[in-house]
Amino acid sequence: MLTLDVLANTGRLRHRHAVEKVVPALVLLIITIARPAIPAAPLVLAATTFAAVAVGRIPLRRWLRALALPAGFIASGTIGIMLVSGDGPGPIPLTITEASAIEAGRVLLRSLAGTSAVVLIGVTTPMVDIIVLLRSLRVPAAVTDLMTSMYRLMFDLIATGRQLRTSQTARLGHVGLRRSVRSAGLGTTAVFIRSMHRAKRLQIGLDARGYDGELRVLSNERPLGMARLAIAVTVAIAILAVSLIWARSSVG
Amino acid sequence: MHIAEGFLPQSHAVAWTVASAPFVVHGVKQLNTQMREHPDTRMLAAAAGAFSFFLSALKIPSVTGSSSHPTGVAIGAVLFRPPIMAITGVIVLFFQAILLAHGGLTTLGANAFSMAIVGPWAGYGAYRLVRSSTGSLWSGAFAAAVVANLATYITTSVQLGMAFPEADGGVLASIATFLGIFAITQIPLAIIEGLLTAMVVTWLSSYSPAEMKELAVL
Amino acid sequence: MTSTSPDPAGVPLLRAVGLDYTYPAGPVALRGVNLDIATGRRRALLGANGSGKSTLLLALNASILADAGCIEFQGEAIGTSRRERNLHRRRVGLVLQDPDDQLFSASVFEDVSFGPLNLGLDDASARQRVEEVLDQLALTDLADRPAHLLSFGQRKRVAIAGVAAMRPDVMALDEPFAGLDPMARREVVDTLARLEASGTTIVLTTHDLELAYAWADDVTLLNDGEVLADGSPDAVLGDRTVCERARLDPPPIIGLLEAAVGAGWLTAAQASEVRTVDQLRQVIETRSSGGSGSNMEPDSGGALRDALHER
Repeated sequence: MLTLDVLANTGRLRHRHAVEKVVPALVLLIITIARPAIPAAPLVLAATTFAAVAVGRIPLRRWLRALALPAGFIASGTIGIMLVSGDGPGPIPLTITEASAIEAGRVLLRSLAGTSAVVLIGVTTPMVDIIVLLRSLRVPAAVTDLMTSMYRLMFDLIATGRQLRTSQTARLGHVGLRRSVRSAGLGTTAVFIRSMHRAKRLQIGLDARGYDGELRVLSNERPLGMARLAIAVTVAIAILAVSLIWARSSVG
Repeated sequence: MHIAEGFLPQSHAVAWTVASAPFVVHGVKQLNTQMREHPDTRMLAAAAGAFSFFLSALKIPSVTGSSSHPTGVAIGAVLFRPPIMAITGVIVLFFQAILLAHGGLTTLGANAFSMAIVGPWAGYGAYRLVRSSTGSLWSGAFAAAVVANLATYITTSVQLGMAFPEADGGVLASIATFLGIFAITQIPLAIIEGLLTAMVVTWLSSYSPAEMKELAVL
Repeated sequence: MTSTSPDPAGVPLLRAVGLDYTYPAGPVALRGVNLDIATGRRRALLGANGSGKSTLLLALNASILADAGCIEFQGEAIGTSRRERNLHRRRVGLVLQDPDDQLFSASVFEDVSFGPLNLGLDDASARQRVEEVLDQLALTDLADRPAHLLSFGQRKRVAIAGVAAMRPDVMALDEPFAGLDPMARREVVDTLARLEASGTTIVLTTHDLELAYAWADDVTLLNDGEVLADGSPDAVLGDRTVCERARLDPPPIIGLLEAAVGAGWLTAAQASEVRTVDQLRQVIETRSSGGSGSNMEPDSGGALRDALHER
């Protein structure tokens, strides 16, 4: 239903311990943010692509498509960095300088690399395992329980919303802006009411199984592959090393 | 108005995370209290959070022809109060980052500050003010969404302006640039989401008064 | 594994006595309902929409409190305190019609572990219990799938597992076959059989009279909150007037069996063994290929029974 979620739950790495995937990806993310975009960002992009496509066996096209949508957002966001106040060619007092263009390019690269690290988590690690990981990191139970139930309910609401929209469109409810806004409002209201009713019935279901105010569950246990984790982290550290050497040689 | 992953320099990423933390901790405390005192509202809280995510994944009509996503900040703030929105908002932002590649992890703090803290509080404030002065639920909800949207958009512009000061004009000039660019999409969006929110809240109050009483909106 | 033991005389496992229930600001759902559920007997509650069968299930599990009358478990009336109701819910499990109303956790394993932990089992025993139940109901492969990526039928079986993991004496299922394709329906029927094998008594509601006729030992026909008829599937569903009053169509198999007996293809005794159209076809095919008619001897009933149970 959500592409990244489906990939994470059906992919080759789904049974691997979350730490094996999340920790290397986070190390890459931190390197991306902490080091200059050149050469860190292209290296991180290459590493995440290798991990997703070669190790995780995610088809290259799906991986690129997963990056394309955020890339659009990122590109539009960099417009604000590229444009600076000043007398431009048009009537608007904005212009592009060489410095601002380079800065925009750097942010674009860094942002793409960082996004690829987050998407790598998204396409390899099921959310259920991420929540288990958060639980083991002592995130309060109130929060992880809320996450579990929200995650469960979200898909139900999205499916309902899509069906409502299909049925509205089939009845010409989305022709024209005015009617469109009204239909969207009606649909949203219906989904909200449904979510409230669903919540009440879920509560009956919980009570019928002896709910006493606490939502205790056991998670599926997965073995942690230390060797695999070590290899992945080594790759990330190697990128850091290249970036440090690069910085020194360009200074000297 | 998500700031994408990798957009903010590390010092800014850390600073906005620190700035958001107390509000989120307060939200967690409120959530804990609510779960302890009203364990039977557990699923209601989850439904509220799921609904916020649903709204952010929902396409709404937009004047430019393409569709855009509402923030859902105002509906959440009016129905569930800003403190709870602080924590559910952070969770929604986290889900968006991992499941939709929208926003990011290093920008989670900054996005939480604009969308889970400033937006809800501004929207809620506007709702209370307009509702009590005009007595109209419709106007209150409309104002909540417009103000929440604009407050979010201004906050994001400030955050980006601070991260990317211009060589000549500095931070202020940069903020002005971001405000100007985002205004093209954000102001129409704020009005459309205002209409949508006003409709939803008034319809809910007539279709579903029991739920609205439970949530203490009516 | 507990073996099915016959109940002491006059004391059924689970009993409803004179239940009345009206929904707050809603319709009257139950009027003076009496019901006996015996250990090991398959019970189907039948009726049109709004007949009160789902409400009756909720009452049997003490999820709602009747306005009048009471629920007895092994002869003892269940009190109204939260503690007593919770104790009762451990013995009478409830599976809701829509599995999405029941699966609160995204992970199958986590969801199924919820009930056992609430029974007070420690983590190791609860883990073992979950693994046992998933194995018993042939769900092990789905253990770490998120619920939203399961098919409706799979979610239904997981919802059943979540209750089965509490090892209730009675399992009450609301419309367990509704909305399923034939394959998924067979899987649910099979799931129920596996539960019965471990000593759980099943009571369910359904619209599907064809299936109820094939599956149930006892059926109860409800209409407008009242029990219209109660007895064997043949006695209750064979009564056209009663079915009409309940606004239900009797299953076609009953008419076919009547016709087959009338045509001399089957004896009444043989007909009472046939529960489904498939079985009837088998019997007719066996007879026409046998030719001589020797399998029409009254004592061939045993062989026929064996043939039927082999399917």
